[in-house]
Amino acid sequence: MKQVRIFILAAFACALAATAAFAHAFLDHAAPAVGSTVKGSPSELELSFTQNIVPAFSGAEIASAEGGAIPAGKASVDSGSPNVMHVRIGRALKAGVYLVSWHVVSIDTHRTSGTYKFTVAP
Amino acid sequence: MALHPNHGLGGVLAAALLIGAPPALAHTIVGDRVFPATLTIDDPGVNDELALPAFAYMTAANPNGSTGSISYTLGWEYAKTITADLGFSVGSNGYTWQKRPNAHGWADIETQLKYVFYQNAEHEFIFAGAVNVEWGNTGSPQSASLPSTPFSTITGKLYAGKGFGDASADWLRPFAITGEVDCSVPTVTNNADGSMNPTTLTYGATLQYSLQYMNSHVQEVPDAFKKLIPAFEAIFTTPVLNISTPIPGNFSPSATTGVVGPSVYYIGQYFEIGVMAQIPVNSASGSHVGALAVVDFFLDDIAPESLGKPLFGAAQARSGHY
Repeated sequence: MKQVRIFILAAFACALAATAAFAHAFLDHAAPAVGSTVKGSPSELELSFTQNIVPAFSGAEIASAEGGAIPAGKASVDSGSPNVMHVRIGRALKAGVYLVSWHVVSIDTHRTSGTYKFTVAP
Repeated sequence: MALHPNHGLGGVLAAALLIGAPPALAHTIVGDRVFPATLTIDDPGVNDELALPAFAYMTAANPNGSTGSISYTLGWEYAKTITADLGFSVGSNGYTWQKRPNAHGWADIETQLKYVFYQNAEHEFIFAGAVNVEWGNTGSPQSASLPSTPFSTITGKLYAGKGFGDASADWLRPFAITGEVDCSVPTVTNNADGSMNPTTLTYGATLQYSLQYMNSHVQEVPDAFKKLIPAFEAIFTTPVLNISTPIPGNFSPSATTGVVGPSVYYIGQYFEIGVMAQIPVNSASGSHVGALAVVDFFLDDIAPESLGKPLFGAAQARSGHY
C-alpha cells in the first residue's frame, strides 16, 4: 500500500503544481439579465462569464421569439474585464420575447455555449 | 457492523456491500450540461480528475435489530482520458476505520476502462459503458482486522445521462437524470467454509436540478446558489446468482440493500464538493442515516495542457453550438 499512498500524493502534487490553471467559461450573469423583463429596448448585450474569454472566437446572436434574427455587432471584450463580452444590438427592440445565443472560447481553449431569453415589456 | 462468525468469507463480502454506498466519482460536460461527479453512481462520461478524498460514513444494523458497527471510509480515484471518449481510472474505497468491533484496513485497488458510445450535445444525452476490476488481495492482508476481499471481481457497467435543456417548458430545463446498471461477477464463487460469493446486480439513479444551468439559461439566481446542483440519489444492490443458504438469525443473503437520499454539489472552477445524506432502505443496509462526501479536482481545468488532456487526440468538444 506504500506505493498507493505515494501515487496519491504524487498525483495530488502534480495537480497543484500545474502552471496553466484555467477552466470552462459559463455565463455568470448578463444585462439584460437571464429570464428578466426590461422596460425599453437595450442598446447592447453584456454577458459576464466565469472565466476570461477570447473575443475572436466568441460572440452572441439575438433573435425574436418567432426566430427572426436581429442585427447585432461583433463581440468585444473589456480590456479591464476580459470575462465580459459586449454585443451591440443593431436596432431598437419592440416589445416581446428575445432569445440570445452565445458561444465563447475561454483562454485555455475550452468552448462553451448557451441560450437564454429576456423580455422587452410594452 | 458486527459480522456473525458463521458468515465466513461470503459474510465478509456481504458486509462490504452493506456499509452503504461508496462514493462514485467523475464529472462530465455534454453540450451545455454539467453532470457532476455524483456520490452514489458514477457520471456517464470520461474525464481527467482526481477525487481525493471521498468520504463515507454509515452505521450498520445487526439482524436482531440492535445497532451494529460504525464505519468511516476515506477513498480516492484518479481518472485519465486516453482519447476523448475512452478513459481509464484507478482508485479504491481506501481506508476504513470501524468501531464496534474496532477494526481497520485498506480496501482493494480497482481499475476501470470506460468508453462513451454516444453523446448528443444538443439534447444533452450521453451513453457509456465500462469494465471494472477489483483486484483481490491488493488491500490489507487477510491477517488484518479488516482484510480486503481476497478474490477479484469483474464488473460490467452501463451508464446514461440526459439533461432537459431541450425541453419546451423553462421550469424543466434545469433538470437532468443519470443512471447506472452494473453486473459484478466474483472470480471465486465458493469459499472454503462453504459460503458463496454472489453475482450481484447494482442499479442506481440521480435526479438533479442544476441551479448553475438555471442561472445561465433560464433565470438568474442569487450568487450564493448559482454554483449549486441539488439532487436526489438512489442505489441498490441485489444478489442474483450463487446466493448462500440463509442462516436463521442472519440477514437474508438474497436481500436487496441500498441507500437513498438528498445530495448537493458545489461546482467550482477547478473542483467540486459534494455531500449526501445516505438513508438505508432496510436494516440489512444500515441502521441510521449515513453520509457521503467528496472533493473532486477537475484536472482538465487545472492542467489543460498536461495532466488534463487525453493521451491521444484532441479533448472532447464540450458543446454543440460553435
